[in-house]
Amino acid sequence: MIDALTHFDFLRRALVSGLVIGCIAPVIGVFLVVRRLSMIADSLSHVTLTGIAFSLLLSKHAPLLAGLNPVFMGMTFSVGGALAIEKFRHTYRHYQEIAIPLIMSTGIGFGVLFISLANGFNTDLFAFLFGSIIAVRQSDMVTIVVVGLIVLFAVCFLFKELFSLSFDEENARTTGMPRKTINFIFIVMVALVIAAAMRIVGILLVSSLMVLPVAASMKIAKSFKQTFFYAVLFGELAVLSGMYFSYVLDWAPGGTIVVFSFLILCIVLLVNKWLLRAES
Amino acid sequence: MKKQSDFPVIELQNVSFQYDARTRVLEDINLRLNQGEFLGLVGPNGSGKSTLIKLLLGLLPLQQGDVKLFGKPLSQFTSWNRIGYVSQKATHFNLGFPATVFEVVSTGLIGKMGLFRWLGQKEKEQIRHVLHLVGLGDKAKSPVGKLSGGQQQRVFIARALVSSPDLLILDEPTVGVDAESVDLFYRLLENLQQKENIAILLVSHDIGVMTRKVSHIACLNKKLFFHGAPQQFRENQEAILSAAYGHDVHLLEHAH
Repeated sequence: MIDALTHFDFLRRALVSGLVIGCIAPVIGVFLVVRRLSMIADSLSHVTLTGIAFSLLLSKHAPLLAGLNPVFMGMTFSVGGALAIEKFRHTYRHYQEIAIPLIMSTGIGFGVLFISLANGFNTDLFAFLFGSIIAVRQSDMVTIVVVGLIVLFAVCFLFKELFSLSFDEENARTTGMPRKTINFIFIVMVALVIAAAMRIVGILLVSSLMVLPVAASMKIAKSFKQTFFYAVLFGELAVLSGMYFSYVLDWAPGGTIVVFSFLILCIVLLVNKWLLRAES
Repeated sequence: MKKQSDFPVIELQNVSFQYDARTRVLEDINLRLNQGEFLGLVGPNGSGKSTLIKLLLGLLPLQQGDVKLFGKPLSQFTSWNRIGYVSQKATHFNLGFPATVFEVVSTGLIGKMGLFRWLGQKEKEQIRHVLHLVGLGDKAKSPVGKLSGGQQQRVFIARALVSSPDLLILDEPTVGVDAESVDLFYRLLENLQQKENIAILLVSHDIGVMTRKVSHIACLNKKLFFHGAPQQFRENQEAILSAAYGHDVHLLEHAH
């Protein structure tokens, strides 16, 4: 593996991208889970697919745009979808959860339409759906690293505000913080992380990397800060082991990473149960 | 009792509010709370008590009338760190939230610290001090969901107190809390008012306890039916309450 890493550029790019995703997806995931918004990740990943499909369609009909990385269009759609969800949450004040399936089904609808207009599936689209190691281009890696840095800086600088909003939004409002701006920044970060992560784990599996490590972490963490520590640890473990086996055995990377996330969750649950029983 | 200055901390002038066109929740409310005063706000369910509090905290939009906090109109008020707030819903938070008591109390310092800053040594010291004050000095590292209802309520009071506010607003903070915590809570409030000279606005159903503890009492049911000293209130209690509640209210009094 080490030997292969020094020989193959694509492997190095995939590894760097994977490590960044393994960190930022669980970090954003912690906030999503404690705010009971984990379904948003699924919804936005499908909207990202719409953007990818749109980009592929465009490149077919407008050769000028063929060089554009579909990830950018995916990000644009994902951010747009995030803002639409926020909007609908206010429109349907008493049925806030309706916004999430509403955007998700609309996204899939347009996505399928774009795909059919572009004459169906091709290998590119397949790589976006299920993730790929070979498909990570130089521009993908740069995009992922830049998104990773932005997200980590934003979370560090706005940590206490994001924590307060997640724990008790009403009280957070009475501290005079710019709540709307911070919520906006947060939802844009969610959209960016999803679009960035999809190269490695694939659109259909992005949300698992934001939820499974967090679910495991919450069982053993003793504080909010520890929740992040374990979530990132489990996320990186899943990405590294998933990518290794995916490379060695030629399995789909997204699926392998998710299977390892699930294995980690099971081990944590079992060990935790065993420890609790030993205590009592 | 410590001196009460005439400096107004809360001023409401002709405040009215309605959630929709047909039902008015508040009508023409005039109310004033001075520095160092302890105002008890009583009224039946749905009388607009919580609405009034949300209005003056800016959680609901002001439709009619004027609200001033510390002499400044609400729209220009920015010193939110001078106000500590414990909401009615505080104990209905997500019990599985993975946060320690210390972390929850730290969120009370956000208004004071401003953006882009982390907790320093001074802030940590303040948090430990206020936890000690509410009798949770040994619980700093406990997950907040593992505490009893009364202890959780004290966590939220600590969060409201940690920025050393000049005004404390509490919306039915003793509902569903054990008797021991309620006693401790009232002693804490008396202490705060007398030693720190802070103004307190307390909403409660518990008219009996209120009239013995507060320096002023206000009775609300859409309109303000009474605002004055507790002694005056007790003397005319029957008349005020039957006007405000519209029926016999002896059942609502608790013997403490």
